[in-house]
Amino acid sequence: MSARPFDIPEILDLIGKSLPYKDQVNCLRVSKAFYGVFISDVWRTISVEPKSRNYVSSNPIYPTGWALERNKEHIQAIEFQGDYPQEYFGLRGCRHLQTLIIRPPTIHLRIDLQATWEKNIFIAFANLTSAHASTVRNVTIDFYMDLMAYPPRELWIALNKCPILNQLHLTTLVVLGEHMSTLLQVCSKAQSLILEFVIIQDWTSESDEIHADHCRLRNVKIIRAADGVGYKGSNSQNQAKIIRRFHNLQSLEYRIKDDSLHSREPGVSATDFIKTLTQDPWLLHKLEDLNIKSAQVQDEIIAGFLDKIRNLKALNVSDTPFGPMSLQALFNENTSTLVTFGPADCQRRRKVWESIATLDLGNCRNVTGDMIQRVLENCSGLTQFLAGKITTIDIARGKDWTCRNMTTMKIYLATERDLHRGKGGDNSECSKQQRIAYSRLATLTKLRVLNLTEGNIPEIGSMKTLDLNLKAGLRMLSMLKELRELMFLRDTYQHMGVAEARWITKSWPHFSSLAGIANARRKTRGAFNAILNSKNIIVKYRT
Amino acid sequence: MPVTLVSLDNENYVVDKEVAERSILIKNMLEDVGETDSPIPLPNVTSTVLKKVIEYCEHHRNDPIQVPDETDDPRKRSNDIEEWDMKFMQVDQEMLFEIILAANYLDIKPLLDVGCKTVANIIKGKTPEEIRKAFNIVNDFTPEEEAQIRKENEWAEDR
Repeated sequence: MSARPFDIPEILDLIGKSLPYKDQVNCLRVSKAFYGVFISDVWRTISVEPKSRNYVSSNPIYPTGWALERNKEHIQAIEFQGDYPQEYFGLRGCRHLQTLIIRPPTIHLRIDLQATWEKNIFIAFANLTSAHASTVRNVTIDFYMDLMAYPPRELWIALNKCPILNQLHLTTLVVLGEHMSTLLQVCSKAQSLILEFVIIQDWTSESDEIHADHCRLRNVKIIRAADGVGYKGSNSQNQAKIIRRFHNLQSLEYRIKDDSLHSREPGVSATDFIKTLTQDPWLLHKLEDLNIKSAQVQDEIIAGFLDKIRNLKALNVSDTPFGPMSLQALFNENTSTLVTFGPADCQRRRKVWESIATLDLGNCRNVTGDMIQRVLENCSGLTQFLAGKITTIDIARGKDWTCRNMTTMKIYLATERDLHRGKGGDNSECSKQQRIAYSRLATLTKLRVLNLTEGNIPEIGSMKTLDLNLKAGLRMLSMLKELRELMFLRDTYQHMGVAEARWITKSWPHFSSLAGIANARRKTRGAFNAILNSKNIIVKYRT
Repeated sequence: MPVTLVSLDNENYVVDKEVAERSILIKNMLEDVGETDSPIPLPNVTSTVLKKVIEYCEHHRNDPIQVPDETDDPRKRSNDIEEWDMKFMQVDQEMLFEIILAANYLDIKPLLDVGCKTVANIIKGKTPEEIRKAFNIVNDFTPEEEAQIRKENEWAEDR
């Protein structure tokens, strides 16, 4: 072959993807072939920001003038991060412009100047968006300042002109009720909506409708959901009323702003939101991914929510009071769905819990070991699981695990020795229980990440998981051929040695990281680490 | 089932089907012709290069097949090269280029990725003139063109 890789633009492009930005800039001047490929990398994202105090170069920090005019066709994203030159708002003809981001300046503005300045910037931004409506896909308006921003109507009208809007991210804004009708139309066109500290003011919701058939919105995140004194729950309810209208919604994340900062009781806002969202008639039949992490609502409220969702694939309830009622809702046969397999007359009821692939029960104080065991026994589709403490006794008392597709498991798998520390517990029974736990783990042949000491226990040495040595049962994990990472931090009772190190390097071909203290004896630990390091396996003592 | 691959210079190499099918080109060819003992001609690949490619495919025969991710963010790509791959790529520049071209022709994405990362590692930290020198590339810009490119892109130099 007489051709060289640099003669093929696709290969040069692939080389460029592995280069830091500075090297891509250097490549521009190598040759015309290099220039043709790297010019779009260099101009892909323009950050329009003022020079910081540390910026000593005489070069401009973003392009202007004829350089901007000549190369604007390569621009895919413009981020206004504190500078708002009229030249940029006047740009036209950026044929590949997809992403527009606007963030506030870093200097503090006086209150009386702020309103005028804000309106002008918003209108200029709206004009830029309108001019590129046919290509704009992602818009972020992050106007965090000392006061909330009040975008004018022109902004929502401009966004409503974008037919292929994919993601809309709004932060620290007040949306006036009179603008809600337009905003609802905008939201229904986007696939993904993020509302971060957004307040809806003076909205009478009954008159604002959207065309449900044309609604593309699939994913909603409400982060730092603003509520508290002055809003009296109305913002939570308004947000829920908005979300209820998007009948094709698949994924919902809801995280309240820190309730402790307000005088309302913790959990009231989130409760308002969930109750309003789930009131009859239930409309979000396509919802399959729910994240209500840290929502301090009652177990009963969570249970009522889960009872509505027919095809749950991902659930994050970490740091919530998720407990027995919610688990029961998950396993409730009455909420199973009819699914057709094969010929039209062949149907069976698929259990709701079989559809769950991702489940995060981290730091759920009401979740016990036998509840975790129940999940592992029943949720056969589980691939990623995070939970708290389960003991070898819980595992030995339960049945085989069905979650054979598990790829990531982070739990605190505690041994009996932990429970009877200092009390002379029965070691033979303990060993038998450990081997049962090992045999259950051994069935998870697709496991890539295993954490055996997940949790927030601060004292080092206060956790004790399985004995990770060959004699105790480690050998039983030889079929975990996909394992990449093993963690057992905060367990200082391990007695792993050279034999275990050699076994790991031989049995787990893709293993790359071990986090934990393999042996309290420094010399043995050193020899163990050396064998792992020789095979490029990283050994860590903290995350 | 073994598969016979034939290089440009008519050298035959018998490999397991599983190894040969690390090449999507060969995989598709085998699917098109069905069960057959016929050797597969690879007129774009010399024997020395094909030997290296087969060595790579043998070592990686059990790796999961990479699924292209349309949302792959280039900024999130790992630039780490495994130790074995790094040693495998310690060849002269001509062989490095031949491996990249062969991986591209045979459609073996992981090998193409490793080859491109290896070239990228050579480019890193070099000025334009040093890059040309490293790869024997002719500068086809006039001095005026090069000066204009530098001026237009001076804003990017300190980012």
